[in-house]
Amino acid sequence: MTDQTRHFKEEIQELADDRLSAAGRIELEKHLELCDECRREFEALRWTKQITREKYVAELLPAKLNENILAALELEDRKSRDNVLLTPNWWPRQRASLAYVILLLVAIALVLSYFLLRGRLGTSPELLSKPEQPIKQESPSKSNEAKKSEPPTKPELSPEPELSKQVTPPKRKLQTRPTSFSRPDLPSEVARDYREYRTEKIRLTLTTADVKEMEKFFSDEHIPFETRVFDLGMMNYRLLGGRVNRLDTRKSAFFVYRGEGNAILVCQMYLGAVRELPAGAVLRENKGIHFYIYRKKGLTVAFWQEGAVICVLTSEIDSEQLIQLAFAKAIKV
Amino acid sequence: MADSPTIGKKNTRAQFEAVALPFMRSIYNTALSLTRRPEDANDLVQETYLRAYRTFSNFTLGTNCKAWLFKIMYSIFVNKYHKDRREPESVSVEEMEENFHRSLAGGEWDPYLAQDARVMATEVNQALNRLPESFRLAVLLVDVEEMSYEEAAAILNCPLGTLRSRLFRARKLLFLELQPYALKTGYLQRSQR
Repeated sequence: MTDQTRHFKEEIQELADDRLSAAGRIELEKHLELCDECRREFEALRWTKQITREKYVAELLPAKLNENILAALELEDRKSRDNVLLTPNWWPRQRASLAYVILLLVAIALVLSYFLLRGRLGTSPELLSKPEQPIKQESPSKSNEAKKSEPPTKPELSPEPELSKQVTPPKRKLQTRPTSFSRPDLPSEVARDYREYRTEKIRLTLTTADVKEMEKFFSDEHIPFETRVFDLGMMNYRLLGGRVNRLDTRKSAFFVYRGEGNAILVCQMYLGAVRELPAGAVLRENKGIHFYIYRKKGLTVAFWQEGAVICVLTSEIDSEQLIQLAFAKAIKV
Repeated sequence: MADSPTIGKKNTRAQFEAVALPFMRSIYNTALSLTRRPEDANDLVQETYLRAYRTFSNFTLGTNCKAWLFKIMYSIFVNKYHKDRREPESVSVEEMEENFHRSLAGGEWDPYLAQDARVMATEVNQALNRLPESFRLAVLLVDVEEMSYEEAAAILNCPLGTLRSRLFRARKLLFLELQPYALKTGYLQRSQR
């Protein structure tokens, strides 16, 4: 249609945005050849669109925005992990039902205890005036069965020295394996390993100053990732050797350096993620890598992520010196 | 391997970072255009990414991540920031239409002359910032971010016809703002030849 009696409106914009069908386009282009008003409007719209697209300049991102977003995502990961561990998924939905069940159980317990107490008072009122036999006066001959039923929280009531030995707490709390509701305290475990190396409870399987030989050792020992043993010669730290260690339930590559003044630096690498680390770290950032720094009774422990692997340096040297070593050796994967 | 769930979660994070973070500048720019304050834009962008990350499982990889992020951002903006500082739509549509057609009919507008015009980026940015919010957003999404009408309408949660109409008016207003610069520099360039 080249109808001069009607002017096109939004179709002109559709032509400028190349959204018209072939037929619609032909029709409108014919009209534009004849209608000066519509042609001017089309040219004006097309020019405006073109100049906006070409000349509009987006603002630069604020320096810290990217970093802040990554930190927020990291925090979100930690929160969701904590929620999974501490709050069962069904809790919000079933809260009311659970409250009813608890109330019901409490009511049943109250009723039962009332009747039990009433029954005892009714049949043997002398119990009120007669003190119960203390456990320690029980004869040793019938103690075994009775003591098995005693609550374990009161071991001091038992006169048997053998039984007391059985409830002795584990010697080292740090060796406790995590249950499904508790996370391993990796910084404490790493610090413990450092002290055990220092006191020669942990010994090196391979003694070498050769970085490549050390890496080959870990490969031969089937460490499930490519171990990058640092060359710290420039920092005056010499490789002493290493071993395959265990952190929590996984294998770790454990290698040791000696620096000036007999300073010992232990590095461990294992498959993991920084979100497994507990709260309380001081967060440092260098070259886009985040470092999680913990202090453990005179030791500094610095964790960082390299791909699927966590690297951790531990030493009793000055904290800042250790952090700078970590900065120097960490690479972004 | 015992660690596989951890690595799986990490992959989700890595995927999110790979598909979503490249659009940060676009998101920030539009957020700034909406809030007009850098600190509010910062907060809006952070909140957008956090909410996107929380709902990343709902996002289908391979679909338009940029449009998805814009939709989240606009939804947060409308619910959180918009209430306090809603801008009045102070443009009289009739007056604007009249000015636009008068400007074209007056014979001053010469598209060939405009080709020589040197409109500066700051002038375009300023002109765009003077548009009412809904018009400004239509231009930003379609002309700057190069989204389709359908994508822009979905982000703004409005019918396609409304988006088309806003865009049409926004471009006319922009034209009225930019035309003086275009003619001035266009004549200047032409006369220097």
